[in-house]
Amino acid sequence: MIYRLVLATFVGILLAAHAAFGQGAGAPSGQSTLRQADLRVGAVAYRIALAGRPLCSQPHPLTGLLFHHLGEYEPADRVTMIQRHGLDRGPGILTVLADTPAARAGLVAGDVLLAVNGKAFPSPVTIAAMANSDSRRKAMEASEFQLEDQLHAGPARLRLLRNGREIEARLDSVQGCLGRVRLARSGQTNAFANGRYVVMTTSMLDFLRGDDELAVVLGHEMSHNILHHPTLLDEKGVPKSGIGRAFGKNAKRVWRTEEEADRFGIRLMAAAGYNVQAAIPFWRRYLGKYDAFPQIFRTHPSLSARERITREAIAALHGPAPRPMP
Amino acid sequence: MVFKGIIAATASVALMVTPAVAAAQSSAQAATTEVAPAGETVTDGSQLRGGFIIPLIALIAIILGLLAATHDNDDDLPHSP
Repeated sequence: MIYRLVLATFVGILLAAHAAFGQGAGAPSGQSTLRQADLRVGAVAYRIALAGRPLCSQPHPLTGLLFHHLGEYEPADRVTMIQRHGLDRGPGILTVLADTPAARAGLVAGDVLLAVNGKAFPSPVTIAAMANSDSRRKAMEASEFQLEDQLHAGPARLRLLRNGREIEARLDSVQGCLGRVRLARSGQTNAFANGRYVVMTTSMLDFLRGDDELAVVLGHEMSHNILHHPTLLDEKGVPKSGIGRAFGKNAKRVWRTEEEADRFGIRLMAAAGYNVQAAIPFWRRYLGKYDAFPQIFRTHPSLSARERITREAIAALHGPAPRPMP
Repeated sequence: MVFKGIIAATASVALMVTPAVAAAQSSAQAATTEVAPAGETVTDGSQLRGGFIIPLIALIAIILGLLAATHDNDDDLPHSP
């Protein structure tokens, strides 16, 4: 009898938890129009990264470019993307943000990067053929890092493909915080920072009400990368995912990075002119729907903890100017 | 007679033009149809919110503990024949 009761309780909790915290990878991602959504996410991230420059000790070259790659598309769509955008030749320019170095250099959406300072980009066809999705993603990112590496040294000479013709351009950059971001087509209502990129999902974007809330999320995740949290957690032996991340000292370490990212994120969004008062209503709505457990055995601050942290961070904005983070 | 000729000419022009216009529209539509990147499941890195597994395990442990504490084990009691 007791075992039946335990089993029934366990199944009941699982079902309730699934209902409350669902949104698996296969869930519908809403009605986001990906290209416009990419532009929106990129524009907010750029604004935060640029305005946050005085807060970040390590400058990062910002161009205002968003890329897309052959390997991002389903195999069935790749021929179309080659015919339409020439993505077999190099990284494609998905978006050029207005009033940025890329716009001033005359780059336009649809251009394809062939070479930077005389060095060709790795073959997108070879990258797209990689079976392992993590390896494929890192190889695509490496193409973008190749451009950034050259920009660290100054303006770069680009060879581009535009409307079937090869042309040359000179691209400069402006210094800002590390602000790489990409929009993943995913039903996970979450956002991620892996040390290299902030990954916003389409489902998360659909959940947000306006650019102030988007700035809350991007500011928080960009803070993780700016403050090197993924690297610091790696060095302490905290697993990247899984249950081992949430026990003992590991959970406390993750918790501290979350608190730090909450506080630094508020400073970033304030520097960029976004309304920091949007943060608490966002956390109430978001955690109220997806993470309503109280503050026990947690890797992330609970709603009440996040409200307290956010209030303190907003109050601290009127204090003395903080020093750049190491 | 002239009227019939005008009608016939108009009809033939319409018949010639319609497929061409339809084809142009169809190709323009195809050209502007966006191809979305492949869907994905993001796994690594810091997340905006924590998972529910650990709180869930803690909750289950508490419930099991309560059940064990309140459970009266009848097997240990003497039975009357």
